Amino acid sequence: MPSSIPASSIAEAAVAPAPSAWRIFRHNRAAVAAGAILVLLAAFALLGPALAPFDPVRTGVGPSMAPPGLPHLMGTDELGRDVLSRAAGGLRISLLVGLGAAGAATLIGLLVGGVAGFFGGLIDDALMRVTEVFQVIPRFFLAILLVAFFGAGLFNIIFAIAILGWPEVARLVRAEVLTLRSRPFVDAARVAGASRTALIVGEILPNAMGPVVVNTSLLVGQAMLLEAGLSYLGLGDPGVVSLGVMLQEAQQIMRSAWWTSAFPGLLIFLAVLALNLLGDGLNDVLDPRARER
Amino acid sequence: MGPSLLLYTLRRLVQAVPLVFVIILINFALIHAAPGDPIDFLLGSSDATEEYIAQLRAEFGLDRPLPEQLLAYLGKMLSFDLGYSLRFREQVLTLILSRLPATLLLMGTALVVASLLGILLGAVAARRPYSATDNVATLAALAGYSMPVFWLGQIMLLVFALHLAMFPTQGMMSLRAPREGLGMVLDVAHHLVLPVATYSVYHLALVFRLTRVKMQETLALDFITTARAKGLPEGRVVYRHALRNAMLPVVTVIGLNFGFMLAGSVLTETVFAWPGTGRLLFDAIQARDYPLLMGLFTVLSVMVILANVLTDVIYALIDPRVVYR
Amino acid sequence: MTKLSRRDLMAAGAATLAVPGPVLAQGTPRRGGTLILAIEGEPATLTSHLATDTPAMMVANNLFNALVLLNEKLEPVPDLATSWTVSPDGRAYAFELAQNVRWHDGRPLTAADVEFTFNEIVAKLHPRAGSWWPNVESAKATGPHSFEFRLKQPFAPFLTMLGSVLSSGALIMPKHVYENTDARTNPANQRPIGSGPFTFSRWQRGSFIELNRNATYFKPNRPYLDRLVFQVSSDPAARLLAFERGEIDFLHWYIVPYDRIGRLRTDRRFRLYQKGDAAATNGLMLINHRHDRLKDAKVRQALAHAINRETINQRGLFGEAKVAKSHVGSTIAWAFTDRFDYAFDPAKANALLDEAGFRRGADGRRFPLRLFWASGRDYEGRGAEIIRDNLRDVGVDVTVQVFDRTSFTDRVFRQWDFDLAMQLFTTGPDPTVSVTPRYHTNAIRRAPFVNGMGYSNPEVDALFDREPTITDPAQRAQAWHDIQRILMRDLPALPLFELPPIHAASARFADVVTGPQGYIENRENAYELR
Repeated sequence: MPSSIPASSIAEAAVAPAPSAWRIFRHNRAAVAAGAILVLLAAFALLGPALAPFDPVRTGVGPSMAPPGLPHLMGTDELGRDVLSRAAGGLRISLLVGLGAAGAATLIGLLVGGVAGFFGGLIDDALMRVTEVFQVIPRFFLAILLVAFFGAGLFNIIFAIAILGWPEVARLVRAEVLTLRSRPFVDAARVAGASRTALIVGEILPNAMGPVVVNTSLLVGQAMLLEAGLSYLGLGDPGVVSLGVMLQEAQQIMRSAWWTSAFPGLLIFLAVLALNLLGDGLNDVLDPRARER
Repeated sequence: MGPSLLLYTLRRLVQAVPLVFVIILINFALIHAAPGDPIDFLLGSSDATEEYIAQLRAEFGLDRPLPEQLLAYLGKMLSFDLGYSLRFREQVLTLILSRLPATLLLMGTALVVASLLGILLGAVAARRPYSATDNVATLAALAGYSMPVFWLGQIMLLVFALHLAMFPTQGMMSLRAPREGLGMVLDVAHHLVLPVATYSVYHLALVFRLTRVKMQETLALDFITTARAKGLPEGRVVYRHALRNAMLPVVTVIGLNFGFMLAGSVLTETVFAWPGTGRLLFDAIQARDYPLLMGLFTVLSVMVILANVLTDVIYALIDPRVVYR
Repeated sequence: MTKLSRRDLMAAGAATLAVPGPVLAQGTPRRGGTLILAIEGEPATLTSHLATDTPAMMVANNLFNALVLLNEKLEPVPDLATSWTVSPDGRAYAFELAQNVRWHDGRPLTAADVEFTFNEIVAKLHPRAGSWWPNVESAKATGPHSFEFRLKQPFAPFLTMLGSVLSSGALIMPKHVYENTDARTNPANQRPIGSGPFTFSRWQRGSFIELNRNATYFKPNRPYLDRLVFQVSSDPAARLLAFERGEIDFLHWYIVPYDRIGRLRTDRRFRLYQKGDAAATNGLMLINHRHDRLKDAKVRQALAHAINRETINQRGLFGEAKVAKSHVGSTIAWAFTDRFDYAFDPAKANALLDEAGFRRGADGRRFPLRLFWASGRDYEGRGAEIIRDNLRDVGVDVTVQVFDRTSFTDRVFRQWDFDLAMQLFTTGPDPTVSVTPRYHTNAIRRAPFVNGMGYSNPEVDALFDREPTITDPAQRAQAWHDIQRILMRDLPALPLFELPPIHAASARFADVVTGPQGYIENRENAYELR
């Protein structure tokens, strides 16, 4: 197998060029803007439901399919529900799915990749074989299957999406650990009598975290898009309104009320775009490879 | 290279065999652990008698123990018999094969368009990093893969099919006046534009970003500096030497993304009523069509494995430095 | 129907325009043209003997013929049978068949085919045979072109059943193709040889099914169209776009977008067909009678008073439906009565719930309930949302849960693990075959679309058993009024809305819909205007 297959296509694509001071600054400016957008979106998601003038679930708080205007800034849907109030709650759920799935994927990946990279040998072989199997399975189909078969609950959706992300994290972490394992500072710690666990947790993982954090920020966005995709196929959790579920419901009446589809779509787009920009920015700051070049 | 490459290819293929079995096993376990009854869907909103339901169960072997069902399934697999679809009352392999060309046409076109455009734009952007052109292109690429595919598809439909009336909304060919020969090719191409545009955006963005980064790295390498020092024209340096070098990881990413592209087909095919495997899979899931689901998983997984092997081989062809153990 | 709206008048207009035969306003029918019809999913087969899904029925009816069909009043009219007689005791039905009918492969169609179809295919394989076949004593050819059914006892809806091919599966199949084969896997199920107005041409999987004009069809001058194409189109937004762009000519009633009907109605490029509806489909909320709160009739009646069904119609179906006021559809005019309906009255609902002993707690709530629906029909989901709000207003804490269709059916009809559930039930063409199997005690089985509610009332069972043998129409109608009184009092399910039978077609075509089963009927009368 060629040795240079990138650990993660996503992370690979995000690897930034060799930085000079002004480039980092410039790049960070986009990331800072993205960060600001994310803070605003998060505030909207967290505070929106409290501040929004209408109950997001309640039908008939306004007329049916009212266009954007006052008092319904984003209009109402066919049941007379306030789109803005719903979108705030929807964004919260979508972010929750994104963070939950990306977090879970990262944790599994860290564990598998860390163990495989550090111990090597048979353990490495076995774990990497499992990782390979999971990389080969058309995983979006697997996610569809899991959700369709075990029910479109929020937990199942998060779990299914997490399954999509972890193998890349594992390979990324393993590669980092393999390089780091032979570095002088790890040797120094080993000589000083540190236990294996202490070595992994204390020395290697913190140093491998840079690319992992970058990857996680990208995974959050990916997970939000996947949730929307599952919802479009009718596999969203309708008990909790996510942006994806809103888009799915809206497609039925898209031609009569464009705002029911446009605003949730724009919110997903903005959030994922900001996450990707942030990932780029973080990459410059956190990825030691990028720094060393 | 020749014989060793062939050996390498063969060895990779042999290595893939146990993988296929693992995948079959996983699918089987998953599908049978799930709730829901396939007979219900088959009956529709009908007043079936208990006898009829029992007869259906017997007919499809659903009343036999699981290990027996699995053994029988594996045995049939070895003879390329993927079983019989409950939902469509047709051989699974026949069904999948009849849908595969449409998916491959859509994916292949999208892959070629996205890769060519992505590499070209990436190379152009890399020549003047952080120029206005580069920044706009980078942002546009980021935007491209920050959008839900189906949402983008619906916007494309509204703009280009409804308001501008430039393209048909769905299907693969015009049904009212079917054409033959060249006319049919043009008709299919016309139907292909919007799905391909929607479908390739994500991949285009990915290839663009990767090419751009790799090009920048490569352009800073010694041999490029040497080439420039030798007085070779800049265009030739960039597009002959550097691009070739930067394309290697791009090829890998294309290969690794094959599985994801296959997955993206479900959404695109549904929006544009494209008659491929993606839509078939969704129908199969809705119907809990066990044989069809397992057949689809097997065929699609095998395709992904083959794509990975193919990627390695192409990689070896482009990069003579790679030595195979 | 008490008051006539503008819509009703327009619908009536459409109905007169669409009457088959020489009374056409738009000129004479002409040969030629291709009609493209949308189907929402890929059918399993192109025949009617194994499946009851709409796409399969839409295609099969163009490839095959029945003995009789139904007209707007749900009376039998000739198809393969040119005439028929019923014996005075109501137990023998004799049919004379058209003499000049040929299968698409050139062989003549005879009474032997009819005999084979009923005895070897319908009786053994059709999923719905259980609802009517047990009444049949024998089905025999009595000559090359004559055929007779004998019944065990009088069965009033017999001809209506035969005419409703969706219920009876009674499309006549070729004996020479199916004899001595397994009719379940016969390749002809995918490449049918029929006798109908169109012949099978090709089936591009996942894309379209193409039929060509049958040049040797036994009905003179029919059909007019050269080709029928059934386009598989599963995305609602894209399907509507294709229709508006003229790529698709026909959207049947299950896939017409109710929110756009207002616009389509005023657009001259389109024509809406709003026809008498043989299926008479009601949207209902099923109520689980095993639930320790819901087994109290007062609670069920309170729910009926608390739910604003007009809002469900206005917001869930964009005002295109009618509030369902009984367990029988209003288009089954002879049997229907709305006398036992409930008024929207939250105060009364509160009073009934208090009376039943379920008083509000400190948080204003009385007890929780789960309301299930199956994804796929968006209006059911919207209805569920409205019901949740309505019931919360009277202190019943409802949570809405959605499942895919298969899991839903499993939970509701096999596990009986539900409190309330949204479900469509047909009530036509005759309530004996569509209403009785939902609410009879003997229908409490772990099987789809029967009495999963666990409702049992010996009084109504006796009526169900007796009424099909009543040959006097007035007495039979009275029996059905009694049944509806009991059902509306006991509420095994609350009728919510009557699904509106609206089909949308391109105005370039005429007579696309001519009968009461417009969505699945054959298109032998349709023609293109030029």
